Amino acid sequence: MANTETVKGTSLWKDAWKRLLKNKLAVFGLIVLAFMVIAVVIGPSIVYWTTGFTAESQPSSGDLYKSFPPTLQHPMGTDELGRDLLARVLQGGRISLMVGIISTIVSLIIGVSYGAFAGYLGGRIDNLMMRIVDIIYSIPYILLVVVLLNVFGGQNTGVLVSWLPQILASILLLIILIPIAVLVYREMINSLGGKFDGVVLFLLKTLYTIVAVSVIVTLIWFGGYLLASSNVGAYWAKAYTSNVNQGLSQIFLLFFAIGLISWLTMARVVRGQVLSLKNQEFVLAARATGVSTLGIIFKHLVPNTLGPVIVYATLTVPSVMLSEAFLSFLGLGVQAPYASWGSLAADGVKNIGIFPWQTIFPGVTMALTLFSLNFVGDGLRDALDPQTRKF
Amino acid sequence: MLSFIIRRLLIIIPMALLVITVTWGLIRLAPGTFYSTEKKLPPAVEANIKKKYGLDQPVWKQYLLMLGNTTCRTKDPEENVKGGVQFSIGSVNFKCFDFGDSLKYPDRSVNQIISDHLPYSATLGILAYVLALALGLTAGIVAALRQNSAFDYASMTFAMLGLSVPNFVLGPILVAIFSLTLYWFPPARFGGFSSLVLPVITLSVIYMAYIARLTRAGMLEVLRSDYIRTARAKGLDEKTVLLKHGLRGGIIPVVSYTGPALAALLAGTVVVEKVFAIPGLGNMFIQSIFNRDEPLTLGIVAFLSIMIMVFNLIVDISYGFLDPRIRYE
Repeated sequence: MANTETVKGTSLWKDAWKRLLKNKLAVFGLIVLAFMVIAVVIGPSIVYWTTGFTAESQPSSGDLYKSFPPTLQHPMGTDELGRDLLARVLQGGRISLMVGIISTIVSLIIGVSYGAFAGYLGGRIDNLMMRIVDIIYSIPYILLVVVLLNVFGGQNTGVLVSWLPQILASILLLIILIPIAVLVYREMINSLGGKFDGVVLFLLKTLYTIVAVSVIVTLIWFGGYLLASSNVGAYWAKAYTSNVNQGLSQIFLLFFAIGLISWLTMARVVRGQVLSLKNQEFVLAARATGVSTLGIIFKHLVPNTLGPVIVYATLTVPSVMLSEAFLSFLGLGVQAPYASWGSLAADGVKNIGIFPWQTIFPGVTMALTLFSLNFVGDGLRDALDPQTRKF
Repeated sequence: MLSFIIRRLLIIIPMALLVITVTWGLIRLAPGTFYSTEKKLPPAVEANIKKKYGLDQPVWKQYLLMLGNTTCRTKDPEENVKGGVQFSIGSVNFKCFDFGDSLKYPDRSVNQIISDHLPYSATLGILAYVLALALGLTAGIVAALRQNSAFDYASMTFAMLGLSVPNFVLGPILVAIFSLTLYWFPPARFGGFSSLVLPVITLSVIYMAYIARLTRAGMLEVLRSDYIRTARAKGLDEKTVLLKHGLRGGIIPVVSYTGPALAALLAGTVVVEKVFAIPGLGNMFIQSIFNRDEPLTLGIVAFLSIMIMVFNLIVDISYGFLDPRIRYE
């Protein structure tokens, strides 16, 4: 693994990198992606300095429409309002790529911790957690996104922010209270375990659990009530909504909405890996030396699942970008004046018979990026997982 | 095996109830109602509407009523039931899966809307499924048998391309080429074989690509396994080895993918319906969410989620037939 770098010789990662570089398609994908990222970051400024964002000269045929076919000055043509399509595509690429990256990170964080916990804890908890995943799988995700965007998006951005103090306080209380409860529980077992046995001990344990859970819930509820009545949330929400651009916050909400629905597969992958790892000797050794459950999960198990996780993350990026494009196509995603490749293509589709370039250029740019991402993901899988090489 | 099937069928019931509950909660969380308009309604009118649809009752009562409507409840003798299943135990009459009337389309029951719009989606979906399976499986098997050949590289690159082109881009491009330039197929509408060609191709490309990749990967893995070597060693001819032994094992990942995929295809995919102006169930579903048409959304969700779970069950059962090593206790 990564922490054996003191040993001379080739590490797993160096080996994988070498194998990846031998895969021509993956290298092609990497080059295209690097080019795309650079173009998206500095491209709009270059377009602005060289040709400007709007078309100055009007071809003789275009009296009514401002959408011109590609010319040397505007390599991708212009859209209905006469805006340079290359600049639009590059700026849309910022949002599209950001959706891919941020939503994947969100789904990584949720999916990896959820899957690792379910796999390591096992038994009934695992069963319950995986059933929850199954249920979320069967809820149409479009409904989830619509509700998320409706409840928290648009004019309601403040709602989420006004809940933030309560959520933060609850998490803080949980972090403080749960270890205390666990410590007291252990002390109780240690001191009482000798005196009582069997049924009495079981009853005591149950009683303690009920009391502890209800105390924690009451404290959190009371804290939330205090915070809500003190209007901290309302103050934050007001400050937030007056400072932040609504279109942008809608886009960030979209990132999270897509991330929140795309962690399911990741959780399954990580759980499967953890299930096969948790009975190995190094976990037993860690447990014997007194490493806590959290420590075992995040220091010993998760680093060992990194290979498949990286592979699935690279394959999540294109699927997430497709979801964003799909939502934008339905009019739920990125709103004008902001644009993404999906929304640009969706705008162009309406007039494909007359202005085909409005669809073709954003669509092809997106397809090329997804193509490269898929190839890099495939190459990574072959490189990191030589036993199950598919090629 | 039988007890496994019964257990899984029984699990479907609480899971479907949970899905319906969560969906209902989500609908209620979303701001706006089916009767909200640009202008604010007079309070008296709003109160009347609320009373008519039972929205003035406590939330738990509304929830129970919704649950009864979407699943099973007792039926009043004079109640007019338009769809679903009816039966009686003793003197008590029950009705099941009658999702009630749509709120946005008066005089149309949800069952009627589903049965009106499902055939369009189902025709498209089944055709796309058959096409995807036929081409995807063939391409995958041939690519695996001739690994690293020109056909292998070409088909896998095409599969990757199929996975990378969003279907709302592919559909219009196909229309622009084949309808608006070559005049081969109609660009939209539903009727006759020629109008089905473009939507079916658009719908099936992504599934075809996935199936081809899965088949190839599965076949390659199986062809290296010990039991194929045994089959060859005991003198079976190559055809039997590949088709009877190889395919059975290699097809397992495809089966586990295509089960849920078939459910999704039958439900209609929104994009293709929108691009080709087909009155399918997917569009109806999206519209019902936008309209806050609670019974319609819940009806479609209940229908789809049960279908997805049943298809998943069928997939799990078919594993046992495909791979004798898998046993269900």
